[in-house]
Amino acid sequence: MKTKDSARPRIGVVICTCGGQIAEKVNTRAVEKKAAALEYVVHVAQVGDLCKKESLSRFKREFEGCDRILFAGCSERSSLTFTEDRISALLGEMGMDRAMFEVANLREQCVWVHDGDLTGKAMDLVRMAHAKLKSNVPTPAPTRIIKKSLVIGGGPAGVQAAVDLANAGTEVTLVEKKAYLGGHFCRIPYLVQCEGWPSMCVSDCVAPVQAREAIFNPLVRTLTGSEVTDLVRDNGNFKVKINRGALLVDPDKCISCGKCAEVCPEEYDSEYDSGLTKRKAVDKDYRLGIPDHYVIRKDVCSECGECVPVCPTGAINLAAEAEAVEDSFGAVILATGFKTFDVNTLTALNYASPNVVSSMEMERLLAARLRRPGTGPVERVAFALCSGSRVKDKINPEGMPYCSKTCCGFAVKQANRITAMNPNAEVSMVYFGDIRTYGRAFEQFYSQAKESVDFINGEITAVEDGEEGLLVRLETPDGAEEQLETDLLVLAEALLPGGSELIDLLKIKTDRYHYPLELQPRILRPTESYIDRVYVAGALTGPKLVQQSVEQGSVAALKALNHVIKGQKDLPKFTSEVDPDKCSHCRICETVCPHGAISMAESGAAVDRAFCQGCGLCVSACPSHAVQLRNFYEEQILEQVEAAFSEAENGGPKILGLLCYWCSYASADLMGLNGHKITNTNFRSIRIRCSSSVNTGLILEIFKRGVDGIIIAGCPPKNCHHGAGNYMTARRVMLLNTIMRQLGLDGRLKWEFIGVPMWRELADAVHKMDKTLKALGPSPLRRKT
Amino acid sequence: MSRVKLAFNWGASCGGCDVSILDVGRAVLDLPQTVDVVYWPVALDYKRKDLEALDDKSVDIGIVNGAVRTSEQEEEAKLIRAKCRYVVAYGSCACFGGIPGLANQFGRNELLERAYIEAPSNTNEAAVTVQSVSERDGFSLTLPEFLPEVRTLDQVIEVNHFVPGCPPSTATITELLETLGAIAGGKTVKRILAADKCLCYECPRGKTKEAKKAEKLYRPHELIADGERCLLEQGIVCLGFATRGGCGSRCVAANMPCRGCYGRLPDTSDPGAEAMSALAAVAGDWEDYLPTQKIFDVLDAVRDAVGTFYTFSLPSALLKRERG
Repeated sequence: MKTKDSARPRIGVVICTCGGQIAEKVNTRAVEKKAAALEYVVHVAQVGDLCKKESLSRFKREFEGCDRILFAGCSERSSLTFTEDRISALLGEMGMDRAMFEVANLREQCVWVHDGDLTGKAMDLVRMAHAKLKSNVPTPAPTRIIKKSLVIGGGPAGVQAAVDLANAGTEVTLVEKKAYLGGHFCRIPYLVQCEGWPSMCVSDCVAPVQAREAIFNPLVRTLTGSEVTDLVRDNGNFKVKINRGALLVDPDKCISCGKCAEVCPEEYDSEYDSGLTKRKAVDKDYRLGIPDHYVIRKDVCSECGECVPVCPTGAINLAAEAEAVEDSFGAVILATGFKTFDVNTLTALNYASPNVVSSMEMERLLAARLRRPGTGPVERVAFALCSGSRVKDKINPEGMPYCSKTCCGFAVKQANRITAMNPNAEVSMVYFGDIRTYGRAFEQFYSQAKESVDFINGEITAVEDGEEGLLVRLETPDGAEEQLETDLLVLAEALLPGGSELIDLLKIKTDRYHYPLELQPRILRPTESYIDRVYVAGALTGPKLVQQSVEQGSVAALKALNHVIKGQKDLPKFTSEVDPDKCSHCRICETVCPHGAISMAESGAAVDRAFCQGCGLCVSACPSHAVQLRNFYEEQILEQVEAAFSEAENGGPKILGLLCYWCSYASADLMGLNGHKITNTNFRSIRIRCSSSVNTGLILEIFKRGVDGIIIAGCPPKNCHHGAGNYMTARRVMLLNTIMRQLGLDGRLKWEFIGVPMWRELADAVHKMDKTLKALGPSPLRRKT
Repeated sequence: MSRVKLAFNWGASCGGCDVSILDVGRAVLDLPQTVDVVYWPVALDYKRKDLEALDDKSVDIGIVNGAVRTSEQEEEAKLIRAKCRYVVAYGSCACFGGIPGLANQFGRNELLERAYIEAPSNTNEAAVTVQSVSERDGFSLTLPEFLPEVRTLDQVIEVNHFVPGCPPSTATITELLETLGAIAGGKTVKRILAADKCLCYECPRGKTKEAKKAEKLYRPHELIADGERCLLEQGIVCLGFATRGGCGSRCVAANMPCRGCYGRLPDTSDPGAEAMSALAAVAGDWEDYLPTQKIFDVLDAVRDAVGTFYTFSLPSALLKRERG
């Protein structure tokens, strides 16, 4: 081994022949010799099974003196034994920085995908890896993560998250807008237990059980009647302002005796009870609410002061003021629940009538055993399913195109409760097309309901108030007009995400309905939003049963726990960096950042590295070239390009694939794995970050370096790991191709959506480009020297 | 101190650049006190022989507007270079090729045929196009040669300073006039008389930015833009983000989008690529419901991609039409 020189990189090259597979087509001895002559290379060795224990320990000893390693062998992305994560860990064990390796993919994308002697291509792949490796820079130091979590929303998901985090021994602040925990959970008297078991639990039993677990845990700070007013990212953590509502009734003194309410002269319709009952200005909305204390509604209170002297504990202080709480957290769990669709917009359904109610109102009516103030007993009830759900046009003001999922199940549950309470009740249900009682429990409720409920397929066209109750007119699928009379019409209203102000404040990527999106691959990352350490749980992510919300709360807690317990976050080796001297404050980077890592400071765009996921969307979008991606610098890519075709075989066009980190590069690996062959051995690929990590200027610079054709490939539609990077580059290539066509330079640049299993399509794209380029001849874009 | 000797000339340009100098008002009237104009065919009665008669390097500064399209313009550019110690490329045509540079989308013959034969306003049954030499009644008439492509001034001669703009703004021109002495004295003067940051940095609408996508793009006639808000965020293709500032935000102040006349930003190598790259990133609607083929529809508003991204700069683009 050569002598050490601390200033110069010391690159070790290890060529793994994969049990001789690679050596069958590549003269690895020749590669070894040439690699030894590359700049900064201090040691080269060849092994046959680097992924196996014995070879690894030998490798560790042999390469001890190196500070960077070039692995030539299998794919870091698709190898089942020697993946990038394992390599990073290995480097860590050797005391090396985990950014200090590159892989020359000699197996999947060389010997498996071509026939013949591939020594030249193999050497070029080693050169490319070397060109990048020599200028890699160390991973930034870890960021300190505050060991506290913030849970916003005290419904079943939020409470569960807070409880689980505290039970694991970490501090949590739980913020709830209402005066008590539980949210809508407390308003639904009969809760479906779970998807599988056809029975119910009552909220009066389970809601306080869950809430008290939170409230009496010393690690949970519960702030009810409070709202998060500001939430900003701050050096890897979250700086939060909370407005803690005025404690006009001191929870530490109040014993909920109700003496205050008795003397209070001001009354209002209880929102908790959907107006079925009255409440006083000082009162307790939900009798079993936790924390157990009365609350004064400032907007109703006339400040007469009657309640103050009657309070036996002296708990009332009408002069108390709201308090601004400021704190910082390492993780945020957003569990702001749902809001219901405004059924007033469905004019045909006549929600203005006192006899038309929403399904949440029906829940309260069930709690009141169907007794309504001022009217007789409810004898006839009709349900209107899909009230605001499953409308076809996305901009239709009269509803949402999606299925709200729980409404059919809840409607049949409610219907069954009605017949249980009043066996003589006439219940009918108007559905449009189909009933969606998914799962074992709902389907059983449905079967049960069919015995007593009249199900009518049709669309309600009008609801009229009459002498004898409501007249509901409807049109059946075959166009026939029908009508039914009822005392009460229940609208099974669509559900929407709650807490949209916070979603906007955090710039969480959402779908078009404002439901927060989970990170790709979302199959494996439930509750993880696009913003690092911001988790979403409960009905905020979509309508669900209480049990499913609780489940998500637990999942989010576990994920947050991973970070707050460690107290630090290891940063990725790829993070974006802004040169403030070049930044023009145009805010394009902030617009495109899917992970909320960029904000505007006095000096220009500022990247909070603890939130950066190194996708490079900002790099490709920055018109000032002020943003660069660490360890993916433009110069590094261009050096790779310059090295890529050193031993290109004469005749074959030089094709470069810029393949996205996740899908498309893996797809190129699978080509070889599946035995598919590419005839042109002058195909090289660079594993770029997101397909949108390369900008148009860089593409032109690559052409200037003599590449004949470029294929850029990214994840399939709706599958980009960074939101819409694939669409951005698809559009970019489309624009550039239009210009190239206008200038008579068509055919040299191609965009492809390539998912992991789409290796046939990728191979096809390479073959097609090969053919096109052969007809076009060498690129005229090469910079003349 | 002796007066600075100046020579002005023009190439392939509309004449607006010369007018812009006269347009700065008072400062022009003061010029004779500090400068000595030895050549300015547009404004004063000079002929090419007057320029030829000057000694090499006897003029301090040559200010040239217009791109180079004809052999005559190339000869004159070289003549200016020979006579002047410093050369300033004045205006977007001289700097980047300008509007005349858009002709580089087409071949020489295509252009001539279009202009002299195909254009509906022509009556040219004999299908005659311009000739460098034509014989008529024993006379040989000559015209400058129509070169195969438009070039920027610095693709023909060495240029010391660039003053972009179509035309340069009064502020930029005043800055140039004020620095003439320094240029002639060989002092360090900015190579490009424009801001190093993009127009957004100084745009009066900058404060209204919300860092949001332009879900739909509009062609100029499709929308009356709000006078306060960022034009791009309203869906108007404004190239301010990829164009040097220093122009005084004239267009955006008049509710018109920036088209890029102050040229590409430092640290970029192609004048249109960055704008394309950024626009492709910020334009577009929700991805979750759009059928794949529809993701490109937002770009329908870009009817002429070359004309949009290379309005003033095609000859200085990295991409060039191949010429036989």
